Amino acid sequence: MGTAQPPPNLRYLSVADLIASAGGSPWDVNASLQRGEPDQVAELGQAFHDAGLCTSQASEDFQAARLRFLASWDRETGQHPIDDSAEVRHAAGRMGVQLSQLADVGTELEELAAALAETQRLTNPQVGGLNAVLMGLDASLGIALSNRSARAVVDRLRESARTATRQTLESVTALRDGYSATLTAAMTHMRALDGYSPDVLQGVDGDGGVPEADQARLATDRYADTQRAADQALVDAGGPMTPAKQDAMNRLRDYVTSTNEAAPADARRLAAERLEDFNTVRQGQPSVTDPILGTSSYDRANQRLEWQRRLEQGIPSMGIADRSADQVTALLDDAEQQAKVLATQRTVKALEQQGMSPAGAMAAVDHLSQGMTWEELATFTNKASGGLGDGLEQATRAESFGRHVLDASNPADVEVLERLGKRLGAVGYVLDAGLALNAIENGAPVGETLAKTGGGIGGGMLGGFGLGALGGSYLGPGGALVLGVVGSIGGGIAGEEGVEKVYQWATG
Amino acid sequence: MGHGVISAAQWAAVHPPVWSKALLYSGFAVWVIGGIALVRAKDLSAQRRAYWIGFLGGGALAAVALAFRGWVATAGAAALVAFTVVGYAYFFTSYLKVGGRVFTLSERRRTGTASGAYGDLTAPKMWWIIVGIAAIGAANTALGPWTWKSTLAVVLTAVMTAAGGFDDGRRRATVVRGQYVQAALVILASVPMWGIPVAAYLLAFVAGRMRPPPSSGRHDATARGATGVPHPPPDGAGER
Repeated sequence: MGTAQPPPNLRYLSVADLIASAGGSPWDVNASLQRGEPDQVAELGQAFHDAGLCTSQASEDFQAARLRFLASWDRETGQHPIDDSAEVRHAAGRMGVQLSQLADVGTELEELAAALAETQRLTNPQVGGLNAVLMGLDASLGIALSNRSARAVVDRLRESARTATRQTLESVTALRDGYSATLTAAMTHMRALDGYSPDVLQGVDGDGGVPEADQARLATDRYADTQRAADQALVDAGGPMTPAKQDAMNRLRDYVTSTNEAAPADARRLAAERLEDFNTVRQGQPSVTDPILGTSSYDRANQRLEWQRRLEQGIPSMGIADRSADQVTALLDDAEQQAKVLATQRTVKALEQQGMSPAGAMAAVDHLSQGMTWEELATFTNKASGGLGDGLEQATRAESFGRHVLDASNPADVEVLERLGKRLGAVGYVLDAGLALNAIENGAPVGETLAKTGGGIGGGMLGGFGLGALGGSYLGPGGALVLGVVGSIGGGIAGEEGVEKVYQWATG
Repeated sequence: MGHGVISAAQWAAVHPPVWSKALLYSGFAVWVIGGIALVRAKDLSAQRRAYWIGFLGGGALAAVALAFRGWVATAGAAALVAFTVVGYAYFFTSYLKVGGRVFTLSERRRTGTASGAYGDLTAPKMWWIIVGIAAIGAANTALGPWTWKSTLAVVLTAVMTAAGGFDDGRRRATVVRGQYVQAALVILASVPMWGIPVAAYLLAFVAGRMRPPPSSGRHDATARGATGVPHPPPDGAGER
């Protein structure tokens, strides 16, 4: 982890004013990058490389990336070491990554480490330079004020400070964005080509996330602050054992485990994960949406808790035996990683089968996985599949106004987009209807399910077409694509909710 | 919880009859076959046949499969499938053809050029779409607690009215392109939304007026429709 330069102590200039006028804080952007630990990424890359079967080309690529990393890395060892050998065993074992792919993952990780180290090395001096300039201007301002200099002189000094801050922000943001694109591309490549989902990098890859160890501590603290006393009171109250009391006992057990420094690291981490799932559900609000699987953190935590309960008890009718809490949590973690890998691989393959070039398909997935547009397309379910289809349909329709944006890409890909847009939209909506009919067959309430689904489909079509047409009118194909998808997904969600409320109001 | 795996697990306790499952999956299979035929179809007539036979045929089987849950379920399922398939055809394709006439929302598909007031849409159609979105927004806000989804509905409505207003202002067109019936409905629907969509329209309209009007070229077609009167050629002229 690098040492980020904080804002300087200024007497006459206000850091808050400089940040407000620049539209952001260059110190924060730099700090989030410097929290990344490229040495940990590089060590993991080395471990994968050593465990894999290398061709001479793979070895050359790895060595080239290693040299790039070493040329930019001059810091101490990071604070969040990754258990490299355990992660390699996990990838080769439960994730089923092949030996030849292990080497490729190693090269990808090494290149990622090099890119992060290079970016860190570039941004830190820029912020340091800004600090020096600001301190100089602050001193000049002090002199000007004590000399009762003209107002214009004072204003010019203040404006110079604002300009320097803004320019530095633009520069470090551009570097951060460049690294983010590299990171997303590497993640997509590893999932799509190598079958490995590098979730272990969270918090050390410099994208602003919280490291796993810190996340565990935060989860434990949050539980202690908000629920532990109530759980203890429920357990101490006596009386017969109820499901709520059993859950409370389990959480207290997890709290003890996660705060026991003598406990095995895996047990502490898994216990903290269960507490964090509980915290998220208790908070009750959807927050961050996973860009790949498309589920909100609330839904994800809710489903994990439900599966945790069911699998701990076992499902005899399906031949599933009961398991320990830690075994179930580890199983859920693996399933999630594999779901990300499968979603990425299937989406890339689906785009290729539609005739896109492999590079075009990979780039599309890269691009879409940074936003929200492809999320449920990847799982071949409902709204986003329709949404993406509508967006593509709008994009290609707007093409008739001028081929500004799509002209730049491969013409064959443009043609595929047009065909795909028409088909995907229909498939998405029909799938939506099909899922509803399947749900009804399996016991879901008829009226409410039909009403909600109809509302979602109708709202998606209205929003997708309307917003896409307006976007296309102004912004060309790119605007039509983005706004068409946004309109379709937003209209779908709002339509489903609105019609559900009408249904509940009408049926009392 | 929608259609998540947990819901599926909960519903697994219900055991529909075997014939129902067979019919439902047959219906889905027909959808898949229809979808494949649609992708492979070379010309519009073949696409149209694959679309209607595949999706309505499969939907009919799936609807009959739900008969064990009562006639309401069957009728409702048939209505949902019809709504989806007809709606999609009207919104996004040229497949809806009745008596030799093609019904489609898109001016480009109908006429061969984007001759609508709002690019690909005529003014009446665009404003009916906005009425639909505003109705969803009104239902979200008037009939229950205000949630993030309600906020999303209001934002979506306001973005639509603002985009329309900006376009009207910039092209020096009349307010709402003369679509006063739809505008009255939008105003009514905006009441539970604190009037935000109406305010968004007006502000954007004024902002659009302060911008220079668009030059000719890419927006020629849309500029022609600025009076709210599009120029429809014979039906089906642009059918592809």
